[in-house]
Amino acid sequence: MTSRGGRTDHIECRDLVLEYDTSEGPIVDGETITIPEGAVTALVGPNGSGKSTLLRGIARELEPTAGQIVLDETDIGRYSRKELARELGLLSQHNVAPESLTVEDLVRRGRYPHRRLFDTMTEQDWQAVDWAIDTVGIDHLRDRDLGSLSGGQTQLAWIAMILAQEPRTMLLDEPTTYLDLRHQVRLLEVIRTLSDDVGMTVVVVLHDIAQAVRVCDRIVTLEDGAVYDSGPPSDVVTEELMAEVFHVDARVEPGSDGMRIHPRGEIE
Amino acid sequence: MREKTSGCARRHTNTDRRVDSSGRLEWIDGTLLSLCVVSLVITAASGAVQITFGDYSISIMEVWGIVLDPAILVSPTTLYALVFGGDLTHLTTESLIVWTQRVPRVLVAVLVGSNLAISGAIFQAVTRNELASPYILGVSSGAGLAILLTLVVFGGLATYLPLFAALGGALAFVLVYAIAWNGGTSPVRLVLAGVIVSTVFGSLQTGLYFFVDDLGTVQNALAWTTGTLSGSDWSEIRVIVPWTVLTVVLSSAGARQLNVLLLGERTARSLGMAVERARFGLSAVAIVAASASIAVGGIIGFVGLIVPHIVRTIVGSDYRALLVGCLFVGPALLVVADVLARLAVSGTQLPVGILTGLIGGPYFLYLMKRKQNLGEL
Repeated sequence: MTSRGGRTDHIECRDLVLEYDTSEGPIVDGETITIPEGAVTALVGPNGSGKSTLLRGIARELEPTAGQIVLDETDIGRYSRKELARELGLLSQHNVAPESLTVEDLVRRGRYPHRRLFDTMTEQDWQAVDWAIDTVGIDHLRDRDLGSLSGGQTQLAWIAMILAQEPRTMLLDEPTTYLDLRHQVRLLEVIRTLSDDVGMTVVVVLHDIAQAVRVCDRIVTLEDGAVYDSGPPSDVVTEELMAEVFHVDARVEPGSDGMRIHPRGEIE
Repeated sequence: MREKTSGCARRHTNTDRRVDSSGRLEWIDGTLLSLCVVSLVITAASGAVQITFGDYSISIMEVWGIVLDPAILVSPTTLYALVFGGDLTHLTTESLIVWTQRVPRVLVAVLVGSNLAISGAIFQAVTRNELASPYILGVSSGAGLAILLTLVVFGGLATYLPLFAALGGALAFVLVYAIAWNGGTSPVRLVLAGVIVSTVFGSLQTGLYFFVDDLGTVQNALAWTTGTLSGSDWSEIRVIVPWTVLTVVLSSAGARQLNVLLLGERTARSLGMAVERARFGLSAVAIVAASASIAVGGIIGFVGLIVPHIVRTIVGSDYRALLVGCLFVGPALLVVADVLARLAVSGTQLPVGILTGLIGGPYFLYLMKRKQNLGEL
């Protein structure tokens, strides 16, 4: 698969307007955003900036009011449900599964878009399941019930389920929220692996800009439904950005392993 | 306890699984098989009791002589006459009692039990609620109202009561869906719409009792709305068998959709499922199963609620295994309950729905004491 160097545009949002039935105005207002292939793109911004809505639009959970979303040069509206499921995997913020389900059983559900009505698991299906579990590194949890796992372990099991879909793009909605520090770090590593080793395109919504800087190749900052800036983190993340978008007075300096952000206080 | 049994039974080594995966039935394990065998034994044993005893006293030897009578068992014409109706005048009174009353009653209990259990299992996945029953989307209230209307207002049409009851249930379901629909549905909207329809229809049904001046009609209405298998014969088996075959086939085909639906709507959709279509289709299958049961046995409660629950605690929540388990445990429970309903009080027969309620209530009490997070799937 193409490496990070590939950098063709995999997904494009063209003049995209997204709104909910219940919302008064558009949540995402006429934005054009490109997502490069095989790289990690982080969507960041304060609460209500439209980053999760944008992700829902890309996942076709929300019909665009105007504009279009293009995946591999085809409008996503033209994919069938299962075709799209083989292209895009989505990890929602809140996931539910029966507690008595084992990790392996959950991961197997990811094969749904690849199978027909009465099909049973083929050798290829099992290989995808094994590969997904192995890639996320949860082989030791394979036969455990979901009810017996910690929050971080559960999140990894869900990512394995989506990997078993064998999508070319993974969409993650705030995957690190509610996890302890150790599992946050682990999850960011897994996200990096998906891009570096598997060549997957990853779009991740993150709350924490410091995490975004650590994990992504490209960052898109949103403010009130509009793109404030986008590009490599070293170009985008500045003291000015922290002040204008996040309303935080912060010192931003380049470090040995990426940008360092030191918040000092709130700007009223 | 559940972790232990399901965990051990499912633990495969990688090589095991590779071997299993080449076959179609890799999900059938020891736990499920033992559950089915135990249920079969219970069904057979209580069925035997049901056939052996009754108000018309026939000795045990004689009953089993009749059940195993080669003149009936290997006579195609007699069997055909029994099942599809025909000339049975050559049989003795004892043979007739055993073969046209006691045997079909056990078979009807088996069929109704599996239909209700499968219906409940489907609704528990569709509404994502462990405590859902086949009647959660208004079926019982629709059927109940239809029963009362038939008996009280359209007395002349009483022979069509089973048909009206089933149709009433199905209509109530359609109404519930229409109320819940708002560009799509959700489990919560469906359940709420079910409550709305049940409340209104329930009131109308109760109201109709005031227009009955004949005790016999009231008792008949009560028997139907509580559920009874008394008086079951081969004609009821003819009614329910085709629907049972249909629901078993369709629900097995839907097991994978049910499994994915359990992961929540968003996940199901992102896996490429047409969620609304699957939900409506699966609900419709469950409604067919429930309505067929109502047509032959009235509104029997608790079976469809309890059985999937018991099976889930034993075999886990994989719907392929769960549905098979329901197919065996449902009959076991209903045949046992029906033996008690028929034989517990001598001289009279209770509606079986009273017995399933008496068994069901304490089971949930036991669950409440044992489990903290009751209600989650």
